[in-house]
Amino acid sequence: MGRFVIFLFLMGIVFALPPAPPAVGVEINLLHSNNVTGYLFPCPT
Amino acid sequence: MFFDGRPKEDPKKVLAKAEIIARAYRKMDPAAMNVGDLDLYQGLDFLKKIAAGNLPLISSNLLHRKDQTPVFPPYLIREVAGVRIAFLGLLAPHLAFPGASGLEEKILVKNPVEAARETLSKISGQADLVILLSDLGMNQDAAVAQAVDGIDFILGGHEGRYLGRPIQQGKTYLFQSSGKGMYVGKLKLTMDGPPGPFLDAGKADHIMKEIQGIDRQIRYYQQPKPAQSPEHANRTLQHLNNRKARLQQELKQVKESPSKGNRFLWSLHALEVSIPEDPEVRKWIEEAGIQRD
Repeated sequence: MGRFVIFLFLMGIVFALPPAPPAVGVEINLLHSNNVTGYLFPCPT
Repeated sequence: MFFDGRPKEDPKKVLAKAEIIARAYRKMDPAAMNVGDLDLYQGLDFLKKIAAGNLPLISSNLLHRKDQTPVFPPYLIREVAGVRIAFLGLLAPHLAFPGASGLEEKILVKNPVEAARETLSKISGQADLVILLSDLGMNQDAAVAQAVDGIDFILGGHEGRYLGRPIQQGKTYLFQSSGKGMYVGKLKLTMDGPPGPFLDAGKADHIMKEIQGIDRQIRYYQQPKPAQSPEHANRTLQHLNNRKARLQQELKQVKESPSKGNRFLWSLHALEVSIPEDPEVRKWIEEAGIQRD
């Protein structure tokens, strides 16, 4: 019973750890477009 | 995406165009797509069919009227290079065409601020970065940014504003990428620290451009003109010089601030007519017998 309790306690610690932070020095590109409004053919910019 | 309100347009042609646009979006494989009010014009069943065809439609405030459950996922979380990015979506409560395809009976649009708060509380701790895709328009975007903590960026729409630089509301930056698919906005994020507020890496450039614009106006008003009173010119020049001095001070502060930490760079890129068309999409258009918009 004692060993079982220790096991559960250890499992609790593992699950309580926060997720690893994201890597630093990371570059992410997001492209955004909106309001195509039903046009199939290019509009002049 | 799926709306063409020109009264003389053939409804079958409008539907064919909507389906081609949906196919083209699937081909582009977007990370997330927010539902705007004009996207509902073909009806809810059409939009659900589109979403079932593997388009990642989201909306944090579009609900079934019957039981007030979300019509689409209220958010998506994508992991990119170890960064968990949450996308939320909002549309304005007042639909442009509430009667179209029986929409009023089927859906309701929740208050955007409440919906944003509720969705953020659901995803608490699950994302390093929160981006709101918005069809609210700039004024309502600013209201959401002011009322709701935790949104890093709002990529807005509905109005099609050309914004070469963001508008800052507290710790949230607001953008729009023009309209009609003429431009694509590129938001380049550099994460050099733990999740937290971002700095605008383009701020110095924006300020310098504004100073150059003021210099042009100063040169204009310095030249005597017959129709212009000297008093008016002097007042204007004083105002311009004061503005220039404030900007120069701001520029100095920006240049002296640390360049490390989380930062972003925003730019708009024209989708010029000269850019080659995708031959497969071109073929879909030809097969549908559509020759012009």
